[in-house]
Amino acid sequence: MNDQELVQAYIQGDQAAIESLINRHRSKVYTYILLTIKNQQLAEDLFQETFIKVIQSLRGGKYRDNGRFLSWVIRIAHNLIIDHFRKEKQMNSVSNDDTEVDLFNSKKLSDDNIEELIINSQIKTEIRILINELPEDQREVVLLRHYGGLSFKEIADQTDVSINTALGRMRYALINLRKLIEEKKLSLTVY
Amino acid sequence: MVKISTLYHRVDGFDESGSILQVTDTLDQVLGDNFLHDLLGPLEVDPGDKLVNAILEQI
Repeated sequence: MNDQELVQAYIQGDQAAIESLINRHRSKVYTYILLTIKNQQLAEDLFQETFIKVIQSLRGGKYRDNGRFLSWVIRIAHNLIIDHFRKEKQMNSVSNDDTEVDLFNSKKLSDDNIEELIINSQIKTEIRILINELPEDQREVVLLRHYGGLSFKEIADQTDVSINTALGRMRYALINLRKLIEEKKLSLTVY
Repeated sequence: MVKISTLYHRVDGFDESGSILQVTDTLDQVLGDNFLHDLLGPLEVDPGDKLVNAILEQI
């Protein structure tokens, strides 16, 4: 079943459909939140909040299906992240950068041999550093585009800029990423 | 045998007005998406069943 069919099934009372939808998209949604917020505990909380809101919206008939379920979920996650940062700013709390995230604690890697594990970890660390070196507005466009599959029109709406600005940010992000890879002489082959 | 170069061969009915720019833009986006896929793909993290079950228990 595709996303649209699962959404319809859930709305009509099939509880298993929402589990299938969450499982299908959980990695992309979680990684998007984690890379944006850079705090594992907070990412887990926001991941749960995101899907609770998704479920409430589906139950409340607020979802208009245009065949872009994942983009819609990512937009909800994005808004919750913004709300979180706004609250945090108001409370003047500490930066999220204080808590480092272990992005490599993946079950997928557990069967690999140690050498490959180390290489994979190094590559992932390097990629994470590259992404973090991007200016915030460029990183936002890159993550929305890749993990949410948002169109540039949707990114523009979501980030409250024109389409040309969204496209420009992506263009500069790609230029910067390629430049950084070249400068750091990185080899990004994952085994 | 007569050889005909296709390098500058004109295709009848082909709309050239602005199309090169659009094709370049689309190509840029496709290349950009592919680049991001290669770069960010390995970073994808599975949140695990525990987190998903916690959500399902709340509904």
